[in-house]
Order: sequence, then C-alpha cells, then structure tokens
Amino acid sequence: MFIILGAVLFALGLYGAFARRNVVLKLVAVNIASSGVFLVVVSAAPTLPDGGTDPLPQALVLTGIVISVAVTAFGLALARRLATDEGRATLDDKEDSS
Amino acid sequence: MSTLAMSPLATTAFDGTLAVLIAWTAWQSVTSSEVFRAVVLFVVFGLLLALAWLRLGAPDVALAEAAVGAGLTGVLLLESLGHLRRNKTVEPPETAGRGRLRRWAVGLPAAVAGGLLAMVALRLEPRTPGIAGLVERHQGETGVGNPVTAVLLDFRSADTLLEVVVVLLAVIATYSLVPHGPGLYGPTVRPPATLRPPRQPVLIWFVRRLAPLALLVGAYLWWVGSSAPGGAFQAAAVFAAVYALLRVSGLEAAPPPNARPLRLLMVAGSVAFVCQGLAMMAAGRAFLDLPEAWAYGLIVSLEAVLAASLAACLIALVAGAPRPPRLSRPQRELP
Repeated sequence: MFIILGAVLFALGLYGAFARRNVVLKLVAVNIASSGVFLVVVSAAPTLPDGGTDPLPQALVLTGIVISVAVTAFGLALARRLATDEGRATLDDKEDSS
Repeated sequence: MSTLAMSPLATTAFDGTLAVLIAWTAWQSVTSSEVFRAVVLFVVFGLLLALAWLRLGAPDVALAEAAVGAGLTGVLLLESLGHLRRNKTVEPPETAGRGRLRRWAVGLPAAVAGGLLAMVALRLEPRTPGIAGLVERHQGETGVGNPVTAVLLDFRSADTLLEVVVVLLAVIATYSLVPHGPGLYGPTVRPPATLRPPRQPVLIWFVRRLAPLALLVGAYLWWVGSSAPGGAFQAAAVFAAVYALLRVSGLEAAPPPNARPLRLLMVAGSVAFVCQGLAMMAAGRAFLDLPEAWAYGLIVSLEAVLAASLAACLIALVAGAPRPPRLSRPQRELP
C-alpha cells in the first residue's frame, strides 16, 4: 500500500515542480516528490520477522532526508537572492510574468 | 520495533486512512492557490508521513521526518516566505493564466512517471532476508545496539561523511549568496534582522520552559541513538528547532550564527569525521574501518561532535545568510 502511496506522491510532486510558478511552492513540490521516493525505497524492502524494516534502506533514507533539507535550504537562499535582485519569486521569463 | 497487537483488519484500515490523508494533504499542498496554506499543509503532510514511517517499522526515519522533514523544512519555508513578503516580492497568482491544456501537458507525464515507478517497485521481488541478515550478523563488531546507527556510522559511514559535507556545503553556498562588494561586506554585517513580534507573555513563559526540556530531549536522542531509535541527526534537528523557537519568540540570545566559534563548530563535524578515517588508515586499516574494540566509543563520540556540528549548520541555514546592512535596493523596472 505504501509503495503505491509513494508513487502517487512522486507523481504529485513532479506535477507541482513543473506546474507551480512560485519558487517556494516548487520546492515544496520537490520535497513531496522526494518523500514519495523515500517511501518506495523503504517499503520495497522485505519486512523482517520482528516487524521492522531492513536497516540499510532506513539509513539511506535518513541520509536522503537530511540532504533534501540541505538542498531545500540552498534553494530557498537562491529564491531570496532572486527576490532581492529581481523583486519576484518566479522563474518565468520577464515577458511571461506580467 | 514492536508492532502493536491489533487485528489485521484494524491495521489495514488505519494504514488505508493514513495513506489517503497523506495523499490528500500532498494534493492540497500542490494545488493550493495560496502559498502560506500550501506550506502549512506541507508541514501537516510531513507529520502524517512520520506516522507512516512508524507503521513501516522505521522509527529512526520517523524521528528524522518529524524533526527534519516536517519541522525544519517547515521553518525554512515559512522563514523564506516571510522574507519574500517583507521585500514585497511580486507573487503572481498560481491559478490564473494556467490553461487546461498546459495542466494536462504537465500532469500526464507526471502521472505516467508515477505509474511506472509503482509498476517497477511492485514487481521487485524482495530478496529475503536481504541485507538485514548481514547487518545483524556483524552488528556485534560495532558495539552499538541500533542497526541503523551501525549502518550509518560504521558499515556505510562514507555515505554519512558525505552527507555531513553536503550540509556544510549548503551553509557555505547560502552564505556565498549574500550580495557583496565594497561597503556591503565587513564587520558591520549583522545577522538577519527578524521582525520582532510583539512580546507575548504566554508565548515567552512557554518558550522559557520548553527550551531547556527540548535541549534535554536532543541530548537524549544523541545518547540513545547507539542502542535505540535516535542519533546525531535527530538530535541536531531538535537543537536547531530550539534555536528557531527562540528566534520566533524574539528571545534569541544566542550569538549570531556567523560568529567565529559557530563557524568553527560547523566545520568540526566534517573534520572530525575525516580525521577518524585517516586515523584508521594510520593504524593500518581501511579508511573509516573501525576496530571492534574501539568502535562503540568512537561511534558515540563522533556522534556527539556530529550532533553539535550539524546543529550549528542547521541553525545557520534557518537563520539564513547574514544580510548586509540595509541599502537601497537597485530598483529594477518591472515589465
């Protein structure tokens, strides 16, 4: 069940990353997509007899979560710089953003 | 890793409800036309996802998701949103001008990609016992009781080393985005000024009591990480959250995040990690290959350094790049 949820989240995030105009919302969408991938990675591993999950994918996902927060922070810093320099928070072409 | 004694029907119903709720919050967050609403829904999404990790038997990931995924990312997003709003950034409406054709043009490939992912993942035949058995057999050599910590800091510590470096790089990259030039950079650079909210007695009373407790929770997470779910990353996230809380409530008494001791602390994690690896090489072992007798002590002490160092990095990321003294922004003409 969680594999399907992961795939749904991945698709939703992918859609958002392309369809959103605001950079902050693009980053939210990318985070949702990566959460989907994490879900797939962990739930595709076999369940252990004691109900736990394989520790290796868990460690990988843990690393992934921390890296995605670092990437998000950098993306947001870029967004702030964009806002300071250009006064806008989108990646549209100038003609497009009117 | 205990599973509650529940009937299979009840657990399936719970999982199903949880999955629907998670998908719904994600959908709402991706389609909401209001930015603030989308961000708040994303935080709710993260907390629900933490529950899903628990259901999947991954409590370490659940802790990280709640603290880092939902908590810190949420703080970062809200902080940036506030920054954009204060700078009166042009925020175009999210829905206007989006044709139906355009939405399909993006939505269809995304749905296909998701479908393919599900197809491939469902076809994977889990190889029992997978790698878990291998970890379990060698876990004794590390001296730590938590298999995830054993993987993170011994078996696959090269991954973790690079992860710490990535966080440090994110801080450096963020700082490098400060517009600089003569007169913009120098000792007068102040930490970014937050808009002080009006002093609210209830909030301040609450934060004063919560902050020390939260610090205790963070320290506990570090300590318990060697034997139970927890560890340096979750601890660092909790420390950073305390800072964010102090900052939001206007109680921030901490030194500015770009002060020299804090900057040294940020680098300390990566340096300690590399030094540990080099020391192993000097002792005639492979890079980062811990000897059995020393493994436990090395892992716990390295985790302590990592927790402090990552906390400093995350705090720096939350506080954002030091802003140069307020100058009149070059006004560009918007079309």
